[in-house]
Amino acid sequence: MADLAAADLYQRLTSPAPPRILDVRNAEEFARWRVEGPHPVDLLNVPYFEFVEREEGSVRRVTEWLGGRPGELVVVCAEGGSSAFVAEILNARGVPAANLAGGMVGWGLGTAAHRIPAAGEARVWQVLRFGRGCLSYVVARGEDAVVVDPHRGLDAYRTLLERERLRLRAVFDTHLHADHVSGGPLLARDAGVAYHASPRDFEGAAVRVEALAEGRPIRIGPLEILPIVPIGTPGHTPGSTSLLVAETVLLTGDTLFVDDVGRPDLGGEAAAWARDLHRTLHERLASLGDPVAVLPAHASGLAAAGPDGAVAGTLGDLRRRNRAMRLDLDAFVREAKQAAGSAPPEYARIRAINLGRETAAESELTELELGRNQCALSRR
Amino acid sequence: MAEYRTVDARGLKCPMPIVKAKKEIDAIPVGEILRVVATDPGSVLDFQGWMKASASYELVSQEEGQDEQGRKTFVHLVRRKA
Repeated sequence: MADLAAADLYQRLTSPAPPRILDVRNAEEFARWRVEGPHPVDLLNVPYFEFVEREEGSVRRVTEWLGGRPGELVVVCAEGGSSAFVAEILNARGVPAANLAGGMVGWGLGTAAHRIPAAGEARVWQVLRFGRGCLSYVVARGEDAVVVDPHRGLDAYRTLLERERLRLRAVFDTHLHADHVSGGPLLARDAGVAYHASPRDFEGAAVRVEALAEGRPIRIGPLEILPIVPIGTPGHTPGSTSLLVAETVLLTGDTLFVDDVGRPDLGGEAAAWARDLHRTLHERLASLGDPVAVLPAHASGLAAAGPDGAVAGTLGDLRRRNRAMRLDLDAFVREAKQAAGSAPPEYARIRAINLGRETAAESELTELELGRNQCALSRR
Repeated sequence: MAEYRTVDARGLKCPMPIVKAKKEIDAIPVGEILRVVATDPGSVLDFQGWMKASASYELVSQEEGQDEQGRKTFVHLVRRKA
């Protein structure tokens, strides 16, 4: 039986003939979160205990669903054990099937890196955590690099840095994340570099944070050529800071997505933060030109990825097409108030972990991060 | 506590708790109860689903506990109906 890594499955799901997915978790887990790709995925849910209970009938359900259509079949479960069990049953009965190694836990940590084509003097890679829709970045000039908004799967960054022969110079978080555990402090500490974030978001934090100062360029590398300019963009959080790289690329964090904006209601002050966010979008970013590329920290859906696999848009495109960005102040505040109160309960715990005030075992981290992010204002 | 035939599924990940329980439950007389002790939290929903998927068994109870090594356990009681 073939084992398929999460990144390989994602790669195949980007093809015009994606594999079909047999998900053998129970119906509740299946309803909550499932494998997605840039194209619609053909999924069938038959829990593994159905195969334990009535093997022949369950295999028949699968073959009837497949209907003799060509293409690959991949079996998926929570951690990879039950799907291996079912894939073996299927293979023994003449139905070729591969197993997603590590299951949905592995899927939730899997990444795909895409080079962003035009980024001025900088080379930029977008690291997509496809199972959760989280985006992070490696920005380089020469041999020097910084990482922005890394999640806890640090191997994704270390592998990329090594492959491109880059030296890590600094790590940034655009804001205090509530939907996922940041890999920033650990990545920075292991490399002996500074971890930069907004002091407003990290007040009272137990992690060591180098304060991002608005408008003061941060230069990376010994020759200090590539400037990164922090721009205060409050609204999603009070300390949200976008990073303007080489005057051509704006890393917006959860302030501005390609087709939405970040939720301003997660702090319990929906109306006030929504006004901040509206001012950010229409006053603070006003001086930036339409050609500036917006690279956000989340993708609302994987279909948002362009043909090159990257989730990005120019500021000009967003000004024309992003619905939330076009709302006037009153409508914007009204929408934020309507969204208020529906923040996932685990967000408080995740914030405390990101502030270094609390710690959690790996199994709890996995549980805290189940499912897609819920950071966008209008897509939930 | 009544003496039930017990399956020790501690430390096992899915599908093993249900695979082991399935073997045992078909070996007990109709009407009797099998006790399954698991440490996998995923077993709670899976046992509920398994019982719904079968006309021959029913779920009597599910309780959380702790074993002598301090591990959190999930104790499932299932009855063979037919």
